[in-house]
Amino acid sequence: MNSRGFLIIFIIIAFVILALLPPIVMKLFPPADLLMRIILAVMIFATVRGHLGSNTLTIIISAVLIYLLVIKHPYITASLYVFFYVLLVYNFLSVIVWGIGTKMGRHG
Amino acid sequence: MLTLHLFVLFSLTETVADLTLALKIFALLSIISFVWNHLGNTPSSIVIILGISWFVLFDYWKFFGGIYVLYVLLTMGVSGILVDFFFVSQMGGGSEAKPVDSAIDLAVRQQQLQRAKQMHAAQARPRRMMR
Repeated sequence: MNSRGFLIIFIIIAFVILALLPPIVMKLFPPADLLMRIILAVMIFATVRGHLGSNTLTIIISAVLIYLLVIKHPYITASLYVFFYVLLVYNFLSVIVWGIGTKMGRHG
Repeated sequence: MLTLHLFVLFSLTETVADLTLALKIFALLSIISFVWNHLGNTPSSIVIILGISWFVLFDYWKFFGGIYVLYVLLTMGVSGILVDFFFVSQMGGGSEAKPVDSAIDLAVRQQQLQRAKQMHAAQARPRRMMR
């Protein structure tokens, strides 16, 4: 495999590690788990209220989403939230791609 | 062992079903807010919401689900990551010639050029002699 193939594999490995970090931290530190669940619940409620406004339907849909995403599958949701809502929206993934690319491009 | 496999399979299927339901709810929210923004909260908008929801969430979900995920990812800026990814992955290949960056590099290139010329001349001499 040439250096370009290794570069792509290194970038994918870095993305996988970043996606796995939140569940690992949540598993190791219970306060982080609680904090992340609160953040996720507030984020879901704010998103639904932004779409529908303040009414009864907002509370019902928020409750269903919070049960499904925060109570039933918290690790998957936390991983997706951190990867897409934090790292992707604030362009941190670009920094990682650029950093790995320049390192591998120079030494590869 | 079979029980474990079945448990993992059912757990995975249940997780996928739950995440699909959550995605459908988010798609429904997008449809509702899109129609309300354009028509306001009127009886006609409710009819249109029901029609679009039936079409998108039930009839052609396999098609619109993928499109909705793509729409969300593009809204978050995943295209920037793809641009960075393909731009950076060009650096590892080294298919294009590098520009001259130092005097040593220039000297090395001149030596290589001279050597190539000498080899070319040495190969051309016997051909002339044969004529």
